Amino acid sequence: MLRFLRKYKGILSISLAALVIGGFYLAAWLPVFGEGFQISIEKEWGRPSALGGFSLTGSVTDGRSETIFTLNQAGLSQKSRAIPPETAEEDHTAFSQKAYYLPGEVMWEELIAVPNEEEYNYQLTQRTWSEDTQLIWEIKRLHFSTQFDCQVRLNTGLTYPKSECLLKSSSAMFVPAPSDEEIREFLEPNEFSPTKDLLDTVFGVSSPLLESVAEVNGALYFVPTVSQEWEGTRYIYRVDQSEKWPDTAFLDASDPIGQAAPVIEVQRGRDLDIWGLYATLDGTLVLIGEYQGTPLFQMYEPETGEMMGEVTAPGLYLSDQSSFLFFPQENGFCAGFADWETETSTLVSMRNDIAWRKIQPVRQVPFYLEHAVSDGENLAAIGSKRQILRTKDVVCGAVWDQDGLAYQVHLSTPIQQDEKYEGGEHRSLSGLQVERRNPHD
Amino acid sequence: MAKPFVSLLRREFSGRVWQMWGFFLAAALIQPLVFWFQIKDQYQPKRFEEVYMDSAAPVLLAVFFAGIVGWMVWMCLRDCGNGSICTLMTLPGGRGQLFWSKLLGYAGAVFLLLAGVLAGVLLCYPVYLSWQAELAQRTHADLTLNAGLWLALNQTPLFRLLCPMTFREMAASLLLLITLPVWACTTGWRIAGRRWVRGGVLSLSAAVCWALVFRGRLTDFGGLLDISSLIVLAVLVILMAADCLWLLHRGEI
Repeated sequence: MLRFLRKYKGILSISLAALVIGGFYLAAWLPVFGEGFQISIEKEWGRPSALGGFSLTGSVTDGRSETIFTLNQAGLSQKSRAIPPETAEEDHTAFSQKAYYLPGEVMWEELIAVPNEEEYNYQLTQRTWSEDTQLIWEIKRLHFSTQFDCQVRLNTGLTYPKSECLLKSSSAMFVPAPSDEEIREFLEPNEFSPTKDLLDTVFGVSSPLLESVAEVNGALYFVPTVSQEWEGTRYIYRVDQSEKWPDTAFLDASDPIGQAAPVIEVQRGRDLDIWGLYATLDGTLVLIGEYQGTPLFQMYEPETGEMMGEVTAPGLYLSDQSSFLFFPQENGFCAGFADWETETSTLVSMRNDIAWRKIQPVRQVPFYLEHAVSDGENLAAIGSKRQILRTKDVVCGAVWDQDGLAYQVHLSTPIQQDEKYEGGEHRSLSGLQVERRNPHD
Repeated sequence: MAKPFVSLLRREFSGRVWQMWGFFLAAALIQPLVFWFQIKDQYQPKRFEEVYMDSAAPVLLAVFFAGIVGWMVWMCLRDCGNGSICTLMTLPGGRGQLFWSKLLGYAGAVFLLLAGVLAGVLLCYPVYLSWQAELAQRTHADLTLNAGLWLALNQTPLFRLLCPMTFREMAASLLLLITLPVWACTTGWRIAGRRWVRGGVLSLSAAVCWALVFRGRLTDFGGLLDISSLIVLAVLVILMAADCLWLLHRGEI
């Protein structure tokens, strides 16, 4: 034995080194295929064949690694991979909208200087009762790569007919107490803050439920999302010239920024609560609003301003806790409301088959909707249940055909909801999406 | 393979394999020890690679690799100092085989050290798991982390340098490892032959380039690794090998 060892010690040493290195790779890799990294089908209803050309995908990630899963007709497959730590920030664009209120005809004005507990420190307030309050609308675009690149502000010409109190307020030190002129001077650069009544007549500004800016062929379109209470003609505007954020930071609210042209007059504008503006992938503008208590979609051709279609979707349910989701497609879209409190959603899809007149039935979705895609009369949706009566997060999927719900699935994930879970990693679901093979659009 | 070459290889590798085992054992056993010293007083959940990088283990790695290069240079100098190089050059089969046998033998030594380092990392992981289990028990928290070693390997540049995952990373790591024995041969023989200028320039530029590529591998995950510095290092390795062969041919050692 010793002789053998002595004779072949070189080869044996190299073999052992190779074994150790191979063993290291094996030890690192084996747990990746272990139980803890897997997603499995928990429950299924209906026919899996209903998935057809759809596949439901997503990932479980802890920020450093992810397990990507795909469910399609062939079954559930998954693979794990590490996320490169220096992945470049995705080029993401975000829009924001803001309403400013300017007094129209001033009925009454009050200047108050109330001393605070500290001597010489005054709370300054200006109350202005105004009729025909004017609405100023501002949009901003934020590019993650180019930063704050676009800002437009204009007077919409819309007025609020009732008498409303607008407020300016600030705090400062004065010795002796300030005069009316000093208060007015001090409050000059401030913006008016509106009352709650006035805030409630503009959607998507105080709570970011819907978007009012859409991009079509490189041009930006936006609409002031106002209720029926405002007087004046509602337009969809096209941004002709914008300015950069920092250049306009100190302008007064009444000063316009950039240029925007009213290109489309909103049909039935005076009878509509306008909720938002979106665009399909082939460049049709979709205005969403509420008409006589029912959600309504109006489709516009951005070049000509012509309304191409209008449909209502009774059954789409909007609550205070819900968020609106719009998934554009070529020549169509899916849209719905997802309620995070009850983890239920309503969903509808539409295609430009017969001059935008035929909308698919509204579907009730028993989970928090994250993405949906339609294909003719077939519709597939993916979402999750993360809060209610679960010990682990669940990915949910559903497919409808012309006869109704054809397939539903729950995928169990390794994400625990135990409050004690302070583990090395906090895992979460991400990128839940429906993909479609052989799109017909 | 020619018999004289096999004899030379046996002399360079098998004859000194116990010294190489010393490096292997040191790397495999001291690492868990310093890792345990680092982790024993930790009471916050931490990832494996964080504890490893905070410990003295990475410094030890540098010491081991510097040690093995020093050992290789010393071996070259010893051959020249005791005159055995003259005997070896008279062996049948050409003088070039002396260089190739040294290169293969020393590459084997580096390979053995690498295996020792990885064995050490592998031994550190159970130490980490037992510490984590103890911490979880003490804090009543679920600290489950599946495939922690795999994640550490994927996310830590130092581990990926030792245990590359892609073809490009593997090529870069192999080039870095193979440079060590070539550099040791050329430097050792140049010192022995007292030819400072050309050898010095070559050794120094190779060392600088090696450090640059090494640094690139530590700060980059292979995606943006500068290909030009890899090519320059490869050229320098070829030049150093040619220089060694030229020295042997001219008998200027």
